[in-house]
Amino acid sequence: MLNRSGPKTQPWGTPLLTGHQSDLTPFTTTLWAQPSNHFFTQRSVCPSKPRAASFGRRMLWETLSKALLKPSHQSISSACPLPPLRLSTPALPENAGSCLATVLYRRTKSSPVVNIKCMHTKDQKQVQEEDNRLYQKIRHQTKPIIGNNIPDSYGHIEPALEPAWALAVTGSSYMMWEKSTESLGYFLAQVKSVKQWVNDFIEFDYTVLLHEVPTQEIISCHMRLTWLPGHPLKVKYFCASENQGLEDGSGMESGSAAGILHGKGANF
Amino acid sequence: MRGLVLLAALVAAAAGTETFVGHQVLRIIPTSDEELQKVQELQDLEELQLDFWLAPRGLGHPVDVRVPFPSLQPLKAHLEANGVSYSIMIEDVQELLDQEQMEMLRGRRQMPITTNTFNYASYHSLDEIYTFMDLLVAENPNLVSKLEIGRSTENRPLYVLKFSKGGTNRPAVWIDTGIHSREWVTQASGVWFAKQIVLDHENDKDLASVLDKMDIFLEIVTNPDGFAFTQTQNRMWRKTRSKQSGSICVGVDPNRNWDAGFGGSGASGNPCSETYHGPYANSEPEVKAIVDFVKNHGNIKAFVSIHSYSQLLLYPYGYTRTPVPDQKELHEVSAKAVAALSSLYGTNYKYGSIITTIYQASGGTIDWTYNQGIKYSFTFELRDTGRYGFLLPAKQIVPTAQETWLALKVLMLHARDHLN
Repeated sequence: MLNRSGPKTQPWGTPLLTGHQSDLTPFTTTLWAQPSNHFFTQRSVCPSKPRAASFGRRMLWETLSKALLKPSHQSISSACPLPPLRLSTPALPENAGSCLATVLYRRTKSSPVVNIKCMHTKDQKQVQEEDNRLYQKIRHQTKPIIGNNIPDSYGHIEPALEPAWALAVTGSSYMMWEKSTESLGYFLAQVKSVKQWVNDFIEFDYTVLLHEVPTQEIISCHMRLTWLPGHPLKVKYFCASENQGLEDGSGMESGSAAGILHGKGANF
Repeated sequence: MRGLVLLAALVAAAAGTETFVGHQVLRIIPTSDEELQKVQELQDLEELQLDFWLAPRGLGHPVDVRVPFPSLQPLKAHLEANGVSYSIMIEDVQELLDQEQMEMLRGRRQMPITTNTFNYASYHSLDEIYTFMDLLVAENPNLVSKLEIGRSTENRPLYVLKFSKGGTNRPAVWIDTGIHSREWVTQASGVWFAKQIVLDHENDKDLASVLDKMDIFLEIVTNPDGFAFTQTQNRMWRKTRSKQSGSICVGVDPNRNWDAGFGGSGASGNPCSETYHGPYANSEPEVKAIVDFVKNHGNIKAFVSIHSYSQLLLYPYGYTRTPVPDQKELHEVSAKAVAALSSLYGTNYKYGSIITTIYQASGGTIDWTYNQGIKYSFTFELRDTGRYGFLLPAKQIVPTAQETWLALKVLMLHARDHLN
């Protein structure tokens, strides 16, 4: 089912989409969480449950709106019996479903083949309603969203910036999927800046920092993200080819950072 | 009372509605009925806009009054003309407000007076951590001492806390945190571990039994230059801050600078890379200091180097696929340690050798320590698995430290039970 040649890589964020967009349309308005998110793994931590196959990851899907309506993502909860000395445990974020993805790298240079199977746990109508609510919420703000350093150095995210952050997570996952190879993986390290364009869409300009493994480099990317409920999320991006220099990571000054977003658009 | 008024003033000032530049607070203590009357009359002079912080009460009771700048001259003249003496309590109210505002903002990071008032659930500056260390030693001089094992490139002291119940050159456990400066949950956990050792060294039977036979060395800020840099310039800084000849790039990856497979695959020869191994092994004073310490001590039995993130417990090797001779034992101990860790909050860890679990990495810390004969050499990668990554929310510091401590105790106990 899954073949990886080359050095074993650690279980970082890896591509989760099929090559076929049609498979994705039902989920185009949903946000998925990072794989192996520690508090999602609470669900599978009870000793009796078997672990998923080494590369197929259990994926938990959320709607964008659910991601935002939840008070705190830092909460920890478990369905397993635990020793009496515990923190209080607010509820887990609700999920729209869960997905299992398999990624097949072949010896030829082509992109990997990704297969994804999802199970809905939420009514699609409900998902749509939540998305619409989110859309309205963002559109009815008095000022366009502008922010920096999300989360900040201390891991804190301003509640008002959570919608923008959640969208950045979604858009970044697309970028990271495209950039990932058998030996290079990514995480979203930080949203460095966000600026909202005011029009009929939900549209944001982002600068995001990606953490690249195993190189450990911090890659700066510019991302333009457009969303309308019921439509595929549009992502255009441009990543600096080398480190930006003294700003992010330890690289030297790069001349290639000037960024007109081009090409690399995607609907998903 | 004054505090309340000052606060109100501060709020007003912050709201931008009023400024108190040049305002002074005068204190008058009426010592005669005439004086008292004169002062009481002042309350009626509305045009002076006097603000009585302490209203006239009687003879001998101080009267404090805030005087707006324009009224200062006339009021002082009036008082002097009437032989009423006064003193200036506050020369410039606005200055004081500004100062207090600054202190309020700094409030949560104020220097604690004891390690009991230290906030373990927040991230701290280098100074605050160094202060914490001194406090801990001062409060527990029979258990804790502070050693300086060297200086960083930028001449910051490299401090190690030693926890010992006595003896001479006892077999020891070494723990370091913060070797990669951006991995903030590790330094924060190190601080928590230090306090926990002090709290538990008698009543926790496992810890007590370890300390009966062994010393614990804890280096909390293993890369202070990098740490300072993450606070002031670049939160994502990983390496040291040493200048590299022939390059404008700065810093060496301290976890590629050790003399184990140095310069091989799994590190970069490019000074601009985040995994640059440096010009030669132990080129970094932060690394050399530990190397010297370990060699001079000669009796370290367990060595744990702590990183984040990924939720992994790793043992050597990273630089080669050849398994270590003690692979089986290390694997079993890791399983136990991870089980202990998970038991607290259900946090999921994977474990194995570096090269098979994470990736090939040469010149790494625990590859070197293992080759020195320190069998129980481990590396942790703490929370999380990428959602927040390096920017782990502060409220996860304590849970992370708590669960990790359980794993550390398993490792320490195992080392203690296998002393020969």
